[in-house]
Amino acid sequence: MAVIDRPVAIDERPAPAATLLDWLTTTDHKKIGILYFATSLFFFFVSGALALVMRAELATPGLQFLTLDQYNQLVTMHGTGMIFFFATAIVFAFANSIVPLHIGAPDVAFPRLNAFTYWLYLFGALIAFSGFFTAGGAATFGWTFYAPLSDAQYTPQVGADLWIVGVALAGLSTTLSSINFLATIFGMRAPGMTMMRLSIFVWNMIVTMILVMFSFPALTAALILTFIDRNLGGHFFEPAAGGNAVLFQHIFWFFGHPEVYIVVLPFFGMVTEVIATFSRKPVFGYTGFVLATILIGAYSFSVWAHHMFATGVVNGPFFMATSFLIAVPTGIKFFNWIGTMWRGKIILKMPMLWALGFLSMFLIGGITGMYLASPPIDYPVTDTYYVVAHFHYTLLGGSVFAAFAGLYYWFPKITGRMLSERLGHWHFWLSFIGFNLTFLPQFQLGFDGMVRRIANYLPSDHWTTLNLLSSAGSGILGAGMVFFAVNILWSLRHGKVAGPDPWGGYTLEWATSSPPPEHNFHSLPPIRSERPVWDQRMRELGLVGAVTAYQEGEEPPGELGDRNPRGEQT
Amino acid sequence: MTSRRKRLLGLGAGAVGLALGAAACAPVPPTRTGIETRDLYNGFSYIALVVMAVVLGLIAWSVIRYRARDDDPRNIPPQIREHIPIEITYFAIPQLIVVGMFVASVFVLNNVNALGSAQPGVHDKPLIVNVTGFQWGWDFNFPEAGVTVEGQPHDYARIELPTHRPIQFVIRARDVIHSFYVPDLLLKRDAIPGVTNRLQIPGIDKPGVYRGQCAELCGLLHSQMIFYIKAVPDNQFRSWLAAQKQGGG
Repeated sequence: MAVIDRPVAIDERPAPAATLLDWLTTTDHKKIGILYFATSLFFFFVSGALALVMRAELATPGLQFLTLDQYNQLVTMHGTGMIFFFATAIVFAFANSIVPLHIGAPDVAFPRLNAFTYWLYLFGALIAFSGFFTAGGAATFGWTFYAPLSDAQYTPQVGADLWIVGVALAGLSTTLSSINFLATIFGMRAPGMTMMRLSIFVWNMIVTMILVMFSFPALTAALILTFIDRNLGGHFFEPAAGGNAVLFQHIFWFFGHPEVYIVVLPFFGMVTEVIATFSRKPVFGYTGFVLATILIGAYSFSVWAHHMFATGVVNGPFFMATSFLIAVPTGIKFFNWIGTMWRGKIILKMPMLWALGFLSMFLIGGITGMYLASPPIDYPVTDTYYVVAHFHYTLLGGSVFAAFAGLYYWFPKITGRMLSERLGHWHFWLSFIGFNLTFLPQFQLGFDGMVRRIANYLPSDHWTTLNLLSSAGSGILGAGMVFFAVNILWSLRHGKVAGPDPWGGYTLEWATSSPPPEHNFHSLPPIRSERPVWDQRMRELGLVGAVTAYQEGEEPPGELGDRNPRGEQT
Repeated sequence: MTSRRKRLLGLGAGAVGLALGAAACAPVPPTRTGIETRDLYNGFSYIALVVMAVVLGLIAWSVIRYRARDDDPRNIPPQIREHIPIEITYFAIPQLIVVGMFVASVFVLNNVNALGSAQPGVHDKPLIVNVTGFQWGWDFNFPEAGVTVEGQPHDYARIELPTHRPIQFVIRARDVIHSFYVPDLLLKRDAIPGVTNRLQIPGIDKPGVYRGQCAELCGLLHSQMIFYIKAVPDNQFRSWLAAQKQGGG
C-alpha cells in the first residue's frame, strides 16, 4: 500500500500530451482563432513561396528550371492556396479571435460546429495540396478550374480530384462558419450592444458572412458537377455531349465575385478600427459606412459576368453598369477613412502604417479595376498581366496589407505580447517597396500583351526588362515576409507584455485582459455607443465632453463634438 | 520622419509618372475601333489621375498635418462623427463620374462589337476568316477562297490579311476554351467549344506584322499557341491567298 508522505509536486505547466489534447479538442473561439491564424499563415507562406518560384522562372525568356506542367501546377496551387486557404481562412481567424470580444459575448453560438469547421478546413487544404505528392502532380487547371479543361479528358491526374475534394471541404467549412458567426452576432450581443452600436469591423463581418452563405453553395455546386463530369460520366459542362461550358463560368463567377468582397470587406473593417483608434477620433460617417457596406454586398451579386466579357456571350452594358455602380460605395469608404483622420491626432504605430499602406495600394487596385469594368477596355487587357497586377493591388496591397494592420493591432490581445516595431518597420518597408516593384511593371506588361499563366516567352517579345524588374521586386517582397515570420516567432516569446489596452482602443476587447480569460469578460463597461471603452476612459479622465453617448442622468456639457475637452470652441 | 514622408510622396509621384509615361509611349492602334478604345482609355486615365491625386493628397495631408505632437491622453482632437452635406457630396460626385464613364463606354462598346457592312470604303462586305483554336494551335480558314492555314505548337500559323478592309473573325474551339488575342489590334474574344463568336474590325490601317496568342489557360502548351498576322495591301493579299491555294490545296 502506497503511502503519500510528502506533498506531490504539482507542475504549473500541463504535460505536453495534455496540451496537445487540449488544442485538438478545444471549442474555445480564441484557441480556434489561433489555429486558424497558424494554418492560414502557413498556407500564406507556402503559396507565397510558390509565387517566388514562378517569378524566378519568369525573370528571363524561355524555360529555366521548371517544366510547363510544373508551372501550371504552381499557378493553380498559388491561386488556390492564397484565395481559399489563406485569404478566406484568415477572415475566419479574425472572426474567431475578435468578433465575440467585439460584441461582448463569451464564445460563438455553436462552439462545437466552430471546431468542426476548422478541422474541415485544415484537412480540405491538406487534401488539395497533397496532389503534389501524387504521380501526376497537383491540379493544373488554375484556381478557376474552367470547364471543359477541368474534365478528366484534359486533366486526368488524380491530383485534380484531390483538389476538387479538398476545396469542397474547405468551402463547406466556410459556409457552416458563416452561419455560426451570423447566429453569434445576431443572437449573442451583450446588453446595450444594439445593431447600430456594433463596431464597423463586426458590421463588415455580418455582410461578409451573408455573402459567404449565398455564394459558397454555388462554388460547391460547381465542384460537385465537375466531379460528376470527371468521375461519374456526367456531361454538364462538356459541349461535345450537349453540355454547356459557359454555364460553368456563370456558376463559378456567381461565387467568384462575391468571394472578392468576402476577402476584402473584413479587411475594410479592420483598417477602419485601426484608423479610428490611431487618429483618436470616432469613425467619420458611421451610418453611411454601414449603408455602403450593405450596398457593396447587394451589388456584389450582380456583377459576376464582368469576368466573362471576353466570352462574347454576356450582356456587356448590364454588367458594366453594375460594375461601375459598385465602385461608388467602395469609393465612399475612402472618404470615411480620410474624414476619420482629418483633424485627428494621428499616431503612426505599426498598425496605422499598414493601414496607410493599404489605403494607397487599394486605391490603385480600385482605380485600375474601373478600366476592367468597361468592356471595350477589358477586351484587350483581360487575361493579361494587367489583370494580374490589378488584383494583386486589391488583394495583396489591399487585403493583405490590411490584414497586417489587423495582426499588428490585435496580436497583443490574442497573445498578450506586442509585435516588435523595429522588425515591423523592416517588414513594412521591404514589403511596400518590393510589392510595388513586383506589380507596377506588370500593368505595362499587360499593355504590351503578355498573357497570364504562361511559363515562357520569347526574347523578341521585349518583356524581359519588366519581368526581370518584377522578379527582383518579388525577392524584396519575400525578404519582407521573412521579417514578418521572425517578428511573430520572436515576439511570441520575447515581445513586450501588452497589458489589457496597449493602443487606447475603443471596442470591448480592450476592456478585458490580454489574452482574455476563458469566458472573455469578468465585467463589461456600459455600452451606450459603438466605442464603449473610449467612453469609459473619457469618464475616468474626467473628459465627459468627449464621451460619445451619455448614460441616463449624465449631463452633456455642450453640443456633441463642437467643443474639445478643454472647452474651447472648435 | 520627414525623410519617410518624402519617400512616401516620392513613391506616389513615381507611380503617377509611370502611368503617364506608359500612356504616352503606347503605339497608335492600327484600327478605327482601336483608336476609339484608346481614346476611351485616355479619358478614363484623366479621371483616374485626378481622383488619385485628390485622394492620395488628402491622405498625405492628413498624415502630415494631423500627426500627433504629444502623447497626452487628455489632449484629444474634436470628436466629429458626421457631416451630412459632405457625405452627400462624396456620394454624389463618384456616382456622376461613373455614369459618365458608363455612357462613354456604351458608345465605344457598340462600335467595337458592331457587325455587318456599315463601314464606308471600297469593300463593304467583310472578309470572313474562320478561326479555330485547339490544343495547341490555331487554324485559319478563308471560306471564300477555300484556303486553310494550320498552326502547330512549334510551327505557328502565319497568315496575311488585307489592309483597309473590314474583316470578320468567326471564332470557334475544338476542345477546351481558348482565347483569340492580338494585342496590337486590341482584339480579344474567347474561342469556346459549342459557341460561335463573331468579331469584326473596320479595317487594319497600317501594314505590319501583328503577333497573336491564346489568352485563356488551355493546358500544357498554352504558351505555345502563338500566331502571326501580316497586314498587307489587298493585291498582295490576293496573291498570297492564291499561292496558299496552290501550295496547301
